Amino acid sequence: MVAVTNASYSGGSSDASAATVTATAMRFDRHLGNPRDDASAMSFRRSLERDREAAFPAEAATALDAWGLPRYYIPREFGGELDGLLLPAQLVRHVARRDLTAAVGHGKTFLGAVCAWVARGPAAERMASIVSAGRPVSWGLTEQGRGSDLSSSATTASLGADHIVLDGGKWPIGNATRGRAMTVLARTDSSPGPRALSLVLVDKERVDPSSLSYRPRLQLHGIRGADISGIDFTGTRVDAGALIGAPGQGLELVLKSLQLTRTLCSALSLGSADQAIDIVLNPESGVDLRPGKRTGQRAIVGRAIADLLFAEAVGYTGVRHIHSVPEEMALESAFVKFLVPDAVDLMYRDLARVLGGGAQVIGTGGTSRFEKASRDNRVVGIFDGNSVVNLNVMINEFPNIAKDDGGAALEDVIASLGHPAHAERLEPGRLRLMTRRGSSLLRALPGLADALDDGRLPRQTVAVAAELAAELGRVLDAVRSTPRAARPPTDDFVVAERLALLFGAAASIAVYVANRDRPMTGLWTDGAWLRAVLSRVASRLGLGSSGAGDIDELLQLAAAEHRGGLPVSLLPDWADAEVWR
Amino acid sequence: MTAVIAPAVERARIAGAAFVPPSLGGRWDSTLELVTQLRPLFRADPSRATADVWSSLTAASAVWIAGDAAQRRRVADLMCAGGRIAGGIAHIAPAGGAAGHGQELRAEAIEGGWRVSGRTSPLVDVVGADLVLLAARTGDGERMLLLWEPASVGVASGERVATAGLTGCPIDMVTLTDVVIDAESGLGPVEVDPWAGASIIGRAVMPALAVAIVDSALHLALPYAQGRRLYQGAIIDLPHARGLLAEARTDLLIADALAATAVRALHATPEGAAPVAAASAYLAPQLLNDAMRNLSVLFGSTFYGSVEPYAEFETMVRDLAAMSLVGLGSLEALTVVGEAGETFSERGAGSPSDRRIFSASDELPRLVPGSLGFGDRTASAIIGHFDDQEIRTLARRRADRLEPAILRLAELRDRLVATTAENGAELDRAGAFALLLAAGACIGTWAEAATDTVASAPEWLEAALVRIESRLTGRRRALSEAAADAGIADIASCAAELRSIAFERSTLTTGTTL
Repeated sequence: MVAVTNASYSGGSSDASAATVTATAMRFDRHLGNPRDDASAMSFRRSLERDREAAFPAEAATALDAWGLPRYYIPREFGGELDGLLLPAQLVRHVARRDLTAAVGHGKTFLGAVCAWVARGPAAERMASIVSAGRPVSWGLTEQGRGSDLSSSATTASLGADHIVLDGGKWPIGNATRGRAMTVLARTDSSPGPRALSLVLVDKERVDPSSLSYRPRLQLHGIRGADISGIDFTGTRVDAGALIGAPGQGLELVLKSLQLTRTLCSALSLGSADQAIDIVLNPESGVDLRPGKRTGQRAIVGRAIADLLFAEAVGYTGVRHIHSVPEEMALESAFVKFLVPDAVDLMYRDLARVLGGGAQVIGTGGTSRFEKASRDNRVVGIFDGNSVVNLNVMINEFPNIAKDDGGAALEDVIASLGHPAHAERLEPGRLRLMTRRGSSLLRALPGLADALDDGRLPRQTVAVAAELAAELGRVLDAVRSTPRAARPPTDDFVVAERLALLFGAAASIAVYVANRDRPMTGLWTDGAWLRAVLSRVASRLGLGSSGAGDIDELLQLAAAEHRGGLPVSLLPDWADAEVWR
Repeated sequence: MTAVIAPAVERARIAGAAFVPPSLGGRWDSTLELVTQLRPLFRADPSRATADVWSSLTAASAVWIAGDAAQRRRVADLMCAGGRIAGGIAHIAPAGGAAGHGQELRAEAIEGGWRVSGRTSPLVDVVGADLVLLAARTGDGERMLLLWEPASVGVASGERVATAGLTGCPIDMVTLTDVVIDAESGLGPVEVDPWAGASIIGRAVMPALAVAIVDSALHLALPYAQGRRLYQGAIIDLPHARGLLAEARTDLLIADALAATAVRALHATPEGAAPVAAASAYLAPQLLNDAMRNLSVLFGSTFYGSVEPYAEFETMVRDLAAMSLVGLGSLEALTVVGEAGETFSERGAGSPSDRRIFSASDELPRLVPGSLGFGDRTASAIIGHFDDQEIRTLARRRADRLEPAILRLAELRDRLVATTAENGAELDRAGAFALLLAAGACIGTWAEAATDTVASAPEWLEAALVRIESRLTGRRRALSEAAADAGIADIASCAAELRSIAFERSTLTTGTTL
């Protein structure tokens, strides 16, 4: 156990109660301050300047370290503050809603460290000491010319009695140059197969620096200040204790860890979405949302808000399910990683139409934040498994999804999503490489649709939910009739996309049902958010009407929240209205 | 920030005569021919091309429409002699947000002319321009257009507008203080939208030029997909990657067909050109951006990291998106389409389409800029094109799946017409009409195409109608394996023969002179 003195940090607490979770998130929001204030820790002005300079947002990283954010990347059992993943997700979202470059650059350390938490053992304690010191850690998975095909990694790690020697290189890697350490996926066995790869923690402060060389930073489309570069190892020697997990366990650890990171990435997308909505709802944007004026703009902005809330429901579900149904995260993380960035990408495309040429202007006022936010946002759908990779995961799960076991227990599905979240622990030992029967939440869609029929929602909404449930039946028929193929045809990807949207519908309904009797945010008034979200999902599946009235009502509620300094969110009490007012 | 407008800088330019009608001594006879000549510039450098084309096209067009004989003569002589006129764009707010309000350009009548003060709308490539077309508001609230020579009496200062894409296209907002412009230089007063006729031309031509950006992108994507190894093979061997490429090509061809129809309509049916141009201005950029999105998924981190030798693709993505600066994708354009769609809903197609708007080979009348209008008959006829019995017979004869596809679209159209939009869903309905217009343009382009041209092949039309139907219904359908194979084979053949993928199939060059 690594001993960490609380006195070193100004934030955080060892009490994992729900109240502490919300209080911590609010405290973090206050620490970061109003980004419209140039003097705040993460001002919009400075983030735009750093972006133009393609400079790393070092001041932001310092502020995050000073508060103690790295402690929330470390599980409590290794001396950190990480219990449930909802809190780190909210903290990362706070950073991302100010500057996605800083969120990615700092949050990369969680990605770099997570394999150690999943593997546990001595390397985990070593990792915890690096992370708790506020030093960046990278995740060295990909290599030039190999893309997402990790099993073809060529970097080698020769295992000696008391040391390991690495040769090869990793590229493109976040924080490869500025990071102190890297979790490297390397080949420890020359024979082919999934057991040929292992994970090695390379701590640059414990190796001969002359054995390391670096490849230049990429000139990026967005997150321009981020360090995405490469590193080469030439006889780099580390001690045997640097092995993460057992020899040959590398690929398994990576695939399980990706289930956590792909889910947590939703926080980046949500923060990015917060920026977009903040821009268009701000009177400075020039977007005229008055009723009767430019109804096209109202409809588009309203739909964008529905997309944000859909993404939030899906992200929230994923983050909670890591704890309640980790056995299903192999599939569910793919749903989340596909749906959330996709929904936010769609938002940005639609909002760019509203802003017109204003979406292209670089500056520090008005809508000029939008072009940076838009460029930054696109990275989330690309790294850590892009949309194609995640759709492929879903396709590989078709045989499991197709198994008919008569539906899932609704009470279990709903119970796991009640807010606030009480103490949750990470149990990596329950993660699996494949599910047994797909997603219990997805299977529960028909029951969830029935559960909406309690007289509180309009008949039209109940009907839309029923239509979505019926569509699930049709899509499952398609899943069952799909032959397995080494190279799946395009039709399979279309089926997978529809399945994912239906999962999103199920997640949205489940979040609603689990919390409809609790005090939530203003967007819950008369189920407004769910009515709009379901209309939107049905529309995207080609099933229903536009739900224009529901969308407009949601816009009004969201605008009211925004005027009050609150984020447009399903969840209460994670952001301080006084900070943003 | 202030800067004095610099004197002219010598550089190679597109000859101004290309934008002057023959009646005034220029060479602007066929707008389609103009597009064909300008596309290589957009393939090579969309930024610079936009700077060179936008002002010449739209500012000059405004003069051809709203100027008197002497003003038209003045501008024509200037442009034919190699001089330059600059104009503005109305589609962005100042980067300072609300800070620009209250500084609108105002023209006060004085003896012998106007005294002008205030801040201009963003002007394209104004530095070094011999003449600038300004839009100003007079004391009684009317708008007028003024021809300003930057060297005239008065003080001028400029503020550069930095943009995410088209970074080589200089855009400046100029602050004028007591600049005097003589009475002979005033074109106004004009209608509420000072750029009415010019905007119709801009809306028709600019999307047609934007096609060239995606054309270049596809030429870049093919060797990437062929060379990039993944999972013991090349990316191009993966069905999903093939689908991405084929869909991108199909969306390019839909945009090309729609844009070309809009350009031809300027000549053949000018009184009804506006809704078709508006449909092109709204929908073609969406199709083209969807195509680029597909290609960015294909390129993955190679796109995002601007990795050589494909780094240019990232610039293309930004440049295409930035075409919104010149009005591409605007919601105002969609409103025009919506109005035309409602006319169709009430009155039907009326007379059949003038086939010249679809034909690449028919001779068209000369452009008469002053006759351009917002009539609905052309758009209605295009939307009604699905019902043409000759078309259906042709489709039945040439390919099994074409006629059913046309019938399904006709059915979707009829269902749309039979309903009314929910409050707040008007623009969705307008978007559906734009898609139907595009379908009509594709069908017309195919039907009128000369045999043995790529446009006459049923495979692209079938793929186009699948894509359009998917967008109309919201139920995405993948292109068939055969359609994807045909699409990729076409891209590959264009690459091998160094030809554009757009229907014109022009030989790829690195530059052009007009």
